[in-house]
Amino acid sequence: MNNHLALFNPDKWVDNYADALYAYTMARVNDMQLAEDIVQNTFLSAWKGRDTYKGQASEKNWLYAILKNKIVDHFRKQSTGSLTLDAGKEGQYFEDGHWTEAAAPKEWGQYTEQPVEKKEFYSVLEKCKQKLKDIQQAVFVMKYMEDAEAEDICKVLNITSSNYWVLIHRAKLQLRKCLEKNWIGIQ
Amino acid sequence: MPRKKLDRNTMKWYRAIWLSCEQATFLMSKKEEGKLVFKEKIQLRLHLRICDFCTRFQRQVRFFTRHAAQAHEHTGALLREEKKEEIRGMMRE
Repeated sequence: MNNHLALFNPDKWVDNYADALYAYTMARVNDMQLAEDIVQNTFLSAWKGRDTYKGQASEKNWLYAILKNKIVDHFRKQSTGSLTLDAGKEGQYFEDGHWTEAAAPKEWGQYTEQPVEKKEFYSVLEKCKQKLKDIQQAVFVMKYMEDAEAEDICKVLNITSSNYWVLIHRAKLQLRKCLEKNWIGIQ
Repeated sequence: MPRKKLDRNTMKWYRAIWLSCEQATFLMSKKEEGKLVFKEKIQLRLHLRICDFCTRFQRQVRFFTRHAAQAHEHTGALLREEKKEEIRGMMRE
């Protein structure tokens, strides 16, 4: 029971998981070449470590665990650790702490009440995410797509927690505005 | 700004703990991490009761952050066949 060893089949990995792992990675790193490298490294690591597989997790989950580590490694390497945040970036959104007229959130209507199956939402989200700075993307992806704790994100990116709060705040402000403009269509 | 007319004492009290929209949206992220102190919890709740913009902001941000993790299920991205073949080759060695 609960042992997946019998279903462990490295010969079929590429056929069974390559597309899914690649799509998962692309949604998180936004770069074809990089996503290909990460997927390739994942399969190679898994292949080399195949004897260590004990069957506690399903083959699929085991591969995803390796993949997720590679993605975090990428963010770790990408982060230079010498972060300087320009002051006052929030100035595009607030004036004396109040929403500016242009940045104040507009009503999105029924869009947010329906289940989102629309490809369009995801492709706009993707484009908006790409416009974020690398470090903001890293923070956003780790927090909301990889479900990491803020403390762990700070360790991986080698940033302080106050940097983290500023980055996540700005990422949300920018993404929300971008979605409003390009998905909802309010200029 | 408060919608209803408030008496003087209430106004005073409001001013003492009133957050700006910038502060309120900032605290929303801290809240997700369970990092708000008691005073901030009260301040944020009070701000959201009164401010339509920040209430919208919260709802909209929740919406897209909640859906972000499923993005890969909707893109239909496929790994190039040549790359797959390359990986298969490496795994045979």
